[in-house]
Amino acid sequence: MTDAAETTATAFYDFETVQRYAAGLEELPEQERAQRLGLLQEFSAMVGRTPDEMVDELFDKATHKYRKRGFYAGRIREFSTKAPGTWAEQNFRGNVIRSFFIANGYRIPLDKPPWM
Amino acid sequence: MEFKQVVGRRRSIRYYQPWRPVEREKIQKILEAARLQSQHGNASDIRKAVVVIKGETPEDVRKALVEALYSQPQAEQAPVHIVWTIDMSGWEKLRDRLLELLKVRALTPSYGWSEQFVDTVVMPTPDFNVLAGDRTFAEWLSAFESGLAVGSALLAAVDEGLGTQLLTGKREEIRKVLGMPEYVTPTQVQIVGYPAESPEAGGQRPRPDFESLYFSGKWGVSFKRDPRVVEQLQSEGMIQTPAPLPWRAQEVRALAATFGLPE
Repeated sequence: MTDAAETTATAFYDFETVQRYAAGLEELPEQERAQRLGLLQEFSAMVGRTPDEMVDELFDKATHKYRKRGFYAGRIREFSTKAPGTWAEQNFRGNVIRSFFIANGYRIPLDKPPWM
Repeated sequence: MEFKQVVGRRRSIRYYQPWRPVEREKIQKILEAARLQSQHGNASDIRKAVVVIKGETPEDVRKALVEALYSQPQAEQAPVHIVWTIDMSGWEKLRDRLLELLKVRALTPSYGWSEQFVDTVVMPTPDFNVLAGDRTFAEWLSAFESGLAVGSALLAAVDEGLGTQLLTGKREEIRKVLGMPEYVTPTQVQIVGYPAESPEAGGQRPRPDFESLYFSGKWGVSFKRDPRVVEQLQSEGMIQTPAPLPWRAQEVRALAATFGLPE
């Protein structure tokens, strides 16, 4: 695995999977785009993998089955809850990562709001 | 609601109010609309459904059904699931159903119908009795029959002011969860509930061009679309503003925030 924590912001945006995700953020104000890409970079550092590595290991293209879905679901939950704030604020952090995976073709299980 | 408006307002609704139950009488009306729909193959016993209602069906069953629908958020939100099925054993009642139609004079001697005709011509002829012939045709016609009923059920839900959508899932798991015998195939799951999104749901969805779908007299010769008819249908509510409506992106963001969903 790559030491993603050492990846510069510019190099980070060069990853194909990040570019695919960023293309879907174009309608957002620049500040929000930067916030989401920053959160993705933070998560990437936390799991010690580049974005391309994360997507690559999540799904086994040969068997058409998820390979590390449980791992990423758990790490996303951890990423959400380690920040202070309300459930919605915490969940927003995790959903940025889920959106990144969705943009690259894969779904990670959701966390339901407490009221549901 | 007027028929053309029902057709025009129907959308696949993907966000539901999970806190609001659907009145049981409305569910029954949806099922009644399906039951009365045309049955070209006269095998009305093939199209059956299992209804799963939040707060009424055991929660472990509902939970397993949602999981079999790949845990899609709208499957979780919607309080009602109508699991439409094809019961192939229903074809065995074809003769009885035809005799019923004779008895009520829907099928008449003027067109050659009699009990003898049913027994000597209809039942042994694969074009009329699919079980007498190719299984593939039997399955195809069964799917067609089921689709007719489900189409009617979708419109009935809209007519009752509800949102609805069809989902597919893991059929084998759905069959097990709901205790279906092996000759029954779950086809589509119709979810029903009060919409959390606006009734327009972002506008009327794109469709292929009319003239690319329908032909006049010969395959490939377009059935000409009269713009005056289009205008009339617009004024009557069947043809509505196409998606996306200008505020759809904001609506989707608001819905995502409400349900804690990624954007």
